[in-house]
Parts: sequence; structure tokens; C-alpha cells
Amino acid sequence: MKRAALFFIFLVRAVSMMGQTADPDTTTVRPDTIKNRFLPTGIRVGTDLISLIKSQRQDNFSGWEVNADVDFNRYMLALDYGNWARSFGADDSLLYKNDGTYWRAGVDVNFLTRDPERNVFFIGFRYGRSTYNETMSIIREDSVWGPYAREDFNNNLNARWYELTTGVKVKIWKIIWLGYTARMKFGLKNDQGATMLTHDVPGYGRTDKETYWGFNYQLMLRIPIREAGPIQGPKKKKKAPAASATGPS
Amino acid sequence: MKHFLQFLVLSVVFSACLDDAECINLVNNTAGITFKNMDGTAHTIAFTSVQADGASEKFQVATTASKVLVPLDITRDTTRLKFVTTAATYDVVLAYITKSQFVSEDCGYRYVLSDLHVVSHPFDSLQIVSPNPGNSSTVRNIDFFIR
Repeated sequence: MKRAALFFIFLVRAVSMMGQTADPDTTTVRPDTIKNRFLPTGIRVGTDLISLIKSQRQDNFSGWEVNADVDFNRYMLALDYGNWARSFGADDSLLYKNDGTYWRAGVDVNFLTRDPERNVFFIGFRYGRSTYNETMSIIREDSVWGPYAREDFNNNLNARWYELTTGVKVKIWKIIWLGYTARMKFGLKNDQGATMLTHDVPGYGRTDKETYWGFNYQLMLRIPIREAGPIQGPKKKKKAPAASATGPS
Repeated sequence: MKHFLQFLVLSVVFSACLDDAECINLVNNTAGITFKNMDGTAHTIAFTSVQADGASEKFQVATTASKVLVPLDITRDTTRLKFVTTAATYDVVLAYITKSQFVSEDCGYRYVLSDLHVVSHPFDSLQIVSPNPGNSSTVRNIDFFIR
């Protein structure tokens, strides 16, 4: 809870720091007025192609994810929502299944400030949560204790984690954008089941890893809200000081 | 085209790193039981055997020792042990929490035992050194004290 509060304080400060002081050496008319400072320039919505491809190609995985971000000039509010399910086990001796939904919310900072197309190279932060179920059934014969069968359930467990993200979003054609996001996931905290420990958290991955890497490849549509050029104008060469009227004596 | 190639290369690189088939070798169903005198020194016992209800074999035969390692029954939450010595037979009932966990498709599953405690014993006193059973010969969980 404490970490969630710190994250939201950071989010509010990031949004409030969107104004930039004018460079006194430039004469470019800034396109944004104070009135439009908090009006987003556009909204991007898309989906993760890797989840869709894995769902088609892997028998033990099924999932999808939708992504959205609101472009506030240099800062973007990001929101992801997804679902995934995994299953392992070729026969009755061991069957494992999990399924659940997850969401992530966070802020990205765009470092491509002079791109006229407003392409994005970002570094960001996410807070993620998941609700999931797991089942595992075992039919085995132990060498010491003999044959046994066991079935365990985890129902409606919750988990949360944090992510550091980086990636690119590039305009391909008109409103169509492509991008990728690399994620370093950490700080997993999940509920403990009564009879089974969690193996995999939807949205995060395996619980035995303190940090977990993820990668998304996104196809997006950008819906413009208002006209906006590059975040910063082109670099202006400072005028050379005027030559002195009197030469050396 | 340049951007597409960048996307393709990076997606291949990153997706290759995502799945790791590393196995976790942790089945901690071994409990270490030590016998001591009341002053804390080791109490050596001449064991004929150490047995458990439901087990297909005896764990320890004809030895003189102050410490024994016993496997705990993963099919239930208690194990009833019978320490047969040249002097007497001692019945001890241990209880614990058993949780299963899927590890991977290659490694299968494991059991994680915790909260080990003694339900009944005939000795003078006991001390729980560690409530978590282990999987090595150095594990030490319970000290039984004998006058």
C-alpha cells in the first residue's frame, strides 16, 4: 500500500511537471497554449501481437492484451489490460492449469522531443495487479510412501508487482503505429494458497524469479485529439556576437 | 524498412530470453532429529531401526547415533515414527503443512513442507530448532531431551 501511494504521488508530480520554461534565445512560437497544456494530443490503442501469436502457436498458452496510452506531449499515461491462461501436462499423472486477468498502469517519458512525427522512445514505470486461479492434480506412486492422488486449488488469488519499461513507438502510416516494450518486472507479492504455492502469475510470469523480463510487440492506432508539432522545436544555432567596430591598435 | 528490421531483430532477441526451463531441486521432506541429555550434551542411542507408518522400508537400521534423518510422509500432513532401540520403543507423531507447487513441464512438481511440530512424544522435553524440514544431511529440526 505504501509503495502504491508513492507511485501515485510520482504520477501526479509527473503530470504537473509538463510545462517547460521558454528558452530566451529562441523565437519559435510554442504551439501549446496554457489553455491546452493539460489537453492530450492523442490517444493510442493497440494490442500485443506476441500474445496473439503465442496463443495460436503454443498449445499450452492462451492470452491477449490491449494497450492504451494518452499522449500529454512529453508524458504519456499508459494502461494495459490482459488475460492469459497456461496448462501443462500430457496425461493424468500431472495436470496444471492457471488462468487470470491483469492490468498495468503507469507513466512513460518520451525522449524523442524533436521528431516532427512525434515518434516515441520512452522510459517508464508500471504498477501491475493480477487476479488468478490455479489447479493441479497429481496421480503418482512414491517409492517410500506408495501410491497417492492429490488435487489442489488456488481460487481468486491476487498479486501485485512493479515494472520498469522502455520501448519505441513509430508511426508507420497515417494513424497506424508499431512499437515494442521491454519490461523488467520486480517486487512481486502474491497471496498464498492454503494447499498450493503459486507457480505462475498472469501478467508477471513465474514466481520463483525475483525479477522477470517481458517483451511486447504492439500494433496500435493513434487517434489525434489536437494538432501538435514536435515537443521541442529544431535546435537553433546561437547567433555569433557582432564583430567589434574597432580593430586592434 | 529500417524500423521494421529493428523491430524484427529485437523481437527475436527478447523473445528468446523469456522462457527458462531451469529446474528447482527442492523437496524438503527430510527432518533431522537429535537426542540430547538434559544438560545439552549429545545422547547416543543404540537403534535397532527407525520406522514410519505407511512407509515401505525402514529408514535406519542397527546403528548407534545421537541424530537421525527421517523422511516425512508427503501424502498426508502427519508422520508417525517408531524409534526401536535396544532399551525401548519410542512413538513420535510429527505434524506439518504440505503444499504442492508446479515447477515446470520438464521438472514436474514439488512439495514444500513447513510448520513442523511435535504432536506427541514420550521424552522429557523437546525444542523445535527449525520448523522447516530440509533436504540435506545437515538439517536439524527437533531436539529431544532425555534424563
